[in-house]
Amino acid sequence: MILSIFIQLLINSLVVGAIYALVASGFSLIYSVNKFVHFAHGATIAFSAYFLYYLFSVLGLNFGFSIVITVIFSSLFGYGMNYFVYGQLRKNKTSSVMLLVGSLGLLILIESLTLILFGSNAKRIGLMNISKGIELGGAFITPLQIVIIIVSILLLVGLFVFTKKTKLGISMRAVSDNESVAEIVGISSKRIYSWSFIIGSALSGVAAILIGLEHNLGPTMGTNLMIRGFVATIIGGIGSVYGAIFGAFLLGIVETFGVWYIPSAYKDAIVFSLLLIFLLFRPDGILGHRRKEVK
Amino acid sequence: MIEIYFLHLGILLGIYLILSLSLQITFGYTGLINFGHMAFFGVGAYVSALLMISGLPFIIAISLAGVLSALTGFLLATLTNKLRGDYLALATLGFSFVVYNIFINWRPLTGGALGLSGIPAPSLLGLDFSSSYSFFVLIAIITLLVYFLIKKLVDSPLGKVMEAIRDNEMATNVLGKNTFKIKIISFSVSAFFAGIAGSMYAHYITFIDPSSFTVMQLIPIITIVIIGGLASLKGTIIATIVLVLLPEPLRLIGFSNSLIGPIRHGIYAIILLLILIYKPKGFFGKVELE
Amino acid sequence: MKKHNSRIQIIFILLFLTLISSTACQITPGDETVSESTYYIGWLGALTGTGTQWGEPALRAANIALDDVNNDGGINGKELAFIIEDTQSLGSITATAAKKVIEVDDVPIIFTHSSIESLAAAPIAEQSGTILFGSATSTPDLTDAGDYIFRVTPVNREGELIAKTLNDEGYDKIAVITEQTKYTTPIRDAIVRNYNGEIIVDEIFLSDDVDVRTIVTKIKSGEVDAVVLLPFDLTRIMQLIQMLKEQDVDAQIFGNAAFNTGELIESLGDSAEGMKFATLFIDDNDPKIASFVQRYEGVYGPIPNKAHTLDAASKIYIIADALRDCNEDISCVKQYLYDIKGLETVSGTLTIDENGDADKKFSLKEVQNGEIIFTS
Repeated sequence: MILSIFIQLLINSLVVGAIYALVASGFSLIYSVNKFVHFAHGATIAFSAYFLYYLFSVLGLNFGFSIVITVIFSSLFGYGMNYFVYGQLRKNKTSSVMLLVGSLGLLILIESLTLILFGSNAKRIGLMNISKGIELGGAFITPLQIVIIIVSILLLVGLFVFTKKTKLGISMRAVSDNESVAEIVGISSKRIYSWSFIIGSALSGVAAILIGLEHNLGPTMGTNLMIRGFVATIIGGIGSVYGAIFGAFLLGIVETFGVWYIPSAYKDAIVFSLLLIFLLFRPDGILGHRRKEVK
Repeated sequence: MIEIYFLHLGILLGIYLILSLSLQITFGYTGLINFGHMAFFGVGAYVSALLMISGLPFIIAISLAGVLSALTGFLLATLTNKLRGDYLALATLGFSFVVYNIFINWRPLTGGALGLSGIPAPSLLGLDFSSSYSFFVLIAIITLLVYFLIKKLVDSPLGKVMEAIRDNEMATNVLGKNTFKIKIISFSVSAFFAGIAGSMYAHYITFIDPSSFTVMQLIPIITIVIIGGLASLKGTIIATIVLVLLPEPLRLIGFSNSLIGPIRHGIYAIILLLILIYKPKGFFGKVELE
Repeated sequence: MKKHNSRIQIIFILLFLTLISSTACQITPGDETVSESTYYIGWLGALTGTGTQWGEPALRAANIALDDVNNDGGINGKELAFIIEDTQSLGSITATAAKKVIEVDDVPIIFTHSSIESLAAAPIAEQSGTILFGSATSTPDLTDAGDYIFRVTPVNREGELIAKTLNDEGYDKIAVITEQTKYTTPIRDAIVRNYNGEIIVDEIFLSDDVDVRTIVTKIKSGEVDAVVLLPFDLTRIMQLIQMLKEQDVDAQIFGNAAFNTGELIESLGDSAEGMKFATLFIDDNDPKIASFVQRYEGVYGPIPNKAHTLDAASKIYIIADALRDCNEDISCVKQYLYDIKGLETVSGTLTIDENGDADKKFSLKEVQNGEIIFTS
């Protein structure tokens, strides 16, 4: 394989991996704190992307303004999901499986809402003009792609700093490690749950903006990304946000290079096979620690 | 003619009922969270369609549809034996995606995204079942048969052991029961009936493509099972009737059918959430979701 | 507690049954099809989903034709009306919709507007003795679909035309990118059969697939002279061309009939310059055609996929004439359709052969100075 193609594929992988990393880190953060699979995370992304489309392409609002509103919207959306649905479910002392089914219900509800409001046609946020990318060793990278990579890295670094240095971040880690002990020390797990949703969903809001600009919007985009997100999480190790980020970039590389060698329609097959392999043979992932099962 | 509309609803009812009752076997009675049920439905549909298109008689097509679905169930059971709870749910979900992918990529066999059209109507003993009347009679008979078979299963000692696995697998193992074998039976039987439902679906709609077999289509079934109550066949029947008929008045208000689809799913999702929050045992269920 | 619930459920069920009965009465014109005042025909098309760019204009054009027919006395005094079903470009939805209009609404004729819909509905129509009259349906699979199956579209030769142009103009290495649909896949197959050079990249992607960047990378590394794009919907075209330009792919772009839309050319701006695509032939100088186009554009703006949209309208006039001449007798209408030779319609001259297929030409067009012009 000649160098320029390799570089091009590498760039593609980084871009794809960066987006997956944003999705996966938000999802993993929510999982490690709340201890259940929040399927509807993908729906947050899809709905936020359509929201941006609505603000920018339909209403014609200023772009910078639109993206700020969109991120705020995503956070509130995530908070709302927790407050109205998961919070209620938790009151019944439900198991994590029940919460999982509930999140599946939420996912379907939001996807249906998106279909009703926006229809099933593909949509395009036409911000960038069509122009040649910037050349880099024979490969091309567009300004948008550079923005995606930089923004993702900044946010991920920010996440790292947040969990290590800020009080809220440390409290989250405490709840994630051992909720009962955290409560004893005075941390309100309910408050932490809410915050995990706010931050996780905000990350997905940014992901939504970047994805919306890079690709077309479609009604299934949420589920697609969610699957990538939790495959990345499983690969990296469930319970570890850094693992999820690592898994995301790994997934991006495998997907992009894999499709180079086989027909592109098999892309999903690669992803799902990875999922099954890890679930069956290495459920702890590469970096993760298994949640304690109580059955 | 208006009667055809009712027959159509009745036929849909039959298909949903078979799907829901068969899901009860794994989900309700054996406590296995199976998000891969649509894979069985799809395998049954494609097998039956392909066999009849190549000229084989209906009785063989539907039987092989059931058998091959059962084998798919066997496969899933073997793969997921050691998984519980969340992981089981995710693995079965992943399985369902993989099967969907096979449907969409194996173009020479399944037609890929283009699907299979012109699927022949069933015919038994020289009788042709292409009219809605006759099809309704056929599916009514099959549904009744399926119900009785499943009822027999869950009332039998085997059924009791399945419930024991649901309530406490480790204890059941300790007591000497081969839980692996029983889970295989549970998955295979559940898949068998789902495959039968798939066959009927294919021959009724006469056109199938992978989009009919996604996880989205599973939501109404899961909702039915949870609302009716886990491990309650009676609850499932009532829930199926209510949920299949519920969105029909939407046509009255004049929504176009591209809206009716998402609205239906939205209603199901809301009902599912409400039931989970306020009545997690469902209306007739014996147990909660573990 | 259990008994209480059962009773509530039974009441619920009775309520629903009542509701549904009333629904059923409302939704079906049912027995009214034989009423004195209206003659119903089923109209199946994609009003949402990936095929909207085809279905929506088709319905608009069909409605213009419908108004004309009714202003002209309808069908022997009866008003002609459509029962419209949105197929969402999905075969299973189409099959269900076809069943509904044929069995519940009792229509004797249905119109379809795309290959996927015609194929899904044809077996149902044929079996029940309902005439199916399709447009924008170029799939070879419909030729033998049955005695009651007709279309105003010829079997697709866009692939042959593109291949011939590629051969004649000396393109040695090409890439062929196809969206997996009933309409586009035969075009790809035709190119593979007829093109003499080397196909370096041959990718088929799914309609659901959002990320096609790696395909574009494959094209780039293939260093091809020409790229043949065979998509189904507009946003897809824009996405592909944008990515090709971003990765600085310098090849000649060829397309299919989906490209034949002024809106697309406008949004692409300079990137569209020099693009060539194959579509059905329309003689812009024909006065009948020109006047209909003018009427459409007066209300709706530039007409997309001109040939296909006009076809959707021409069917209405043809069927109206057939029904009038035949006094609504369906076997007579069937024969009328088979007998169509050299008929002047709003979409050109039409001849229908013994298989129910039309006989029309395809043409190659090119974008020059932002305008679509006809080249061969």
